[in-house]
Amino acid sequence: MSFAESKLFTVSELNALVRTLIEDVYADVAVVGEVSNFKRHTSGHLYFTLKDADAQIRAVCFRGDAERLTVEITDGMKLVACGRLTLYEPYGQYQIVAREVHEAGEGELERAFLALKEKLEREGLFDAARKKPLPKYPMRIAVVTSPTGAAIRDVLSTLERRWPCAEVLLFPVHVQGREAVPEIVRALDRLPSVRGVEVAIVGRGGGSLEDLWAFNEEEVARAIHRCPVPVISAVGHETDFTIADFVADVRAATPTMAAEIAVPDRRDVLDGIDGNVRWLYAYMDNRLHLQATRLRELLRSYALGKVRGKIESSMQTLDYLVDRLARSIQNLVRTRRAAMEGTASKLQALSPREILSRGYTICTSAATGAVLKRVDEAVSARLVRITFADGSARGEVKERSNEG
Amino acid sequence: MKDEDREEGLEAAMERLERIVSDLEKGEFSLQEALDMFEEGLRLGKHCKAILDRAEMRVKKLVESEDGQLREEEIDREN
Repeated sequence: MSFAESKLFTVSELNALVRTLIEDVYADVAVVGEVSNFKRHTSGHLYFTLKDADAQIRAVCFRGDAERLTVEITDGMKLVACGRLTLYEPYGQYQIVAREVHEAGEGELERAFLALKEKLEREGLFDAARKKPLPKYPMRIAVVTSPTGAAIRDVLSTLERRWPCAEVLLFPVHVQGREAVPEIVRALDRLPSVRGVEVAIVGRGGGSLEDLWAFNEEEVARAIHRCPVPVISAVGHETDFTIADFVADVRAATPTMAAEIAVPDRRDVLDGIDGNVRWLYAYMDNRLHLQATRLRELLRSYALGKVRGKIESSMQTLDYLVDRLARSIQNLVRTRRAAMEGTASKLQALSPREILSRGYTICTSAATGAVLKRVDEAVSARLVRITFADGSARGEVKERSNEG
Repeated sequence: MKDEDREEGLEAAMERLERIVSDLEKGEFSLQEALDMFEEGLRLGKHCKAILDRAEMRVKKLVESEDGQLREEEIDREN
């Protein structure tokens, strides 16, 4: 093609075009090379160069992915970077945007692991959108692991320390060897048929890559994926990542951490309840004070002879409420003694007795001490005691009148 | 009513208690209604604490019998 026939691009157009071409063709590549010029930017993105004897390529790993890396990248390290190719248009430089970075040269298992991981990821088994939420307060927890391993010990002691009100169901399985995969798969498939299981912990303690291998098998991954009960994976130590971890609803770094994730701490939950109950008491105190204030205002109006009907019904309401509150507090005496004492003293201040100081009296039978509520009772008691705020007086009923 | 109380799950009871508190915080209620909610809240708090006070964790093992049925078997934690 001659100069005159060539299509003329601006630089921007050309770079944009090349970028599209590269991105279309190399959306998913893995490249192995040695790291140099490694830089962790303050933004959290990682920049480095991968090179071999004859060539090099720029690589970037953005923060979201960088935070999930399990390797600590250093210059000179041999790495496999998996991701997509793109072109950084301002410099016309092509580069790999690494989604994942692994140390190179870990052999067959590592390659099988990466291949399966990519396959399942493409199928959507790791999608965040399909991860099931964990129950807040699980009362029945299944544990799929070896009955003799370190994992079950750690899980049980952690659950017992934090959340002893739960019930734990152990599905005993082999976690390594020939039986491991079919047993784990069968346990996961049967789990939903067990009544009331709200969450499952699946895993084992630490070991070599070979020991952990059952948790890198496709069948186990698919069994976790189709399990309708939320699954927490807990395989090995902090740094061990298995396929099971990616497909599980939540990945725990260790069995102990799985138990910590599965259940809340009983003490925190109790604190939360106490906080709410304390709040309710404070709220009720406040409401009753308001009511008392309103009553005092009404009493002042009453003194001016204005609102007789209103005050009488209001006082009756207060008496009723005070009685009722006192009853509900009595019911709680054992469990809420401290809170009760505070509230009871408030109640006393609000009791009808305080109202005596405003000119009301209580009339009781001198003989039996019974409160006299009706004129007939007073007539038949004849000798009465009249209680004022500051003392009492004895009297005799001389004449009956039905006027109020 | 008493039986329903016993059956009420922790999560439902906790949610109801939290709802009562946030409703009271937000809403305008008569003293009568507030007292009803107050008493229900206290009952729920007591109920939740009773569930949490179960001190000893139960651990069972699932055993598959020959006909494929799963049986729950108590296990001795000492072993």
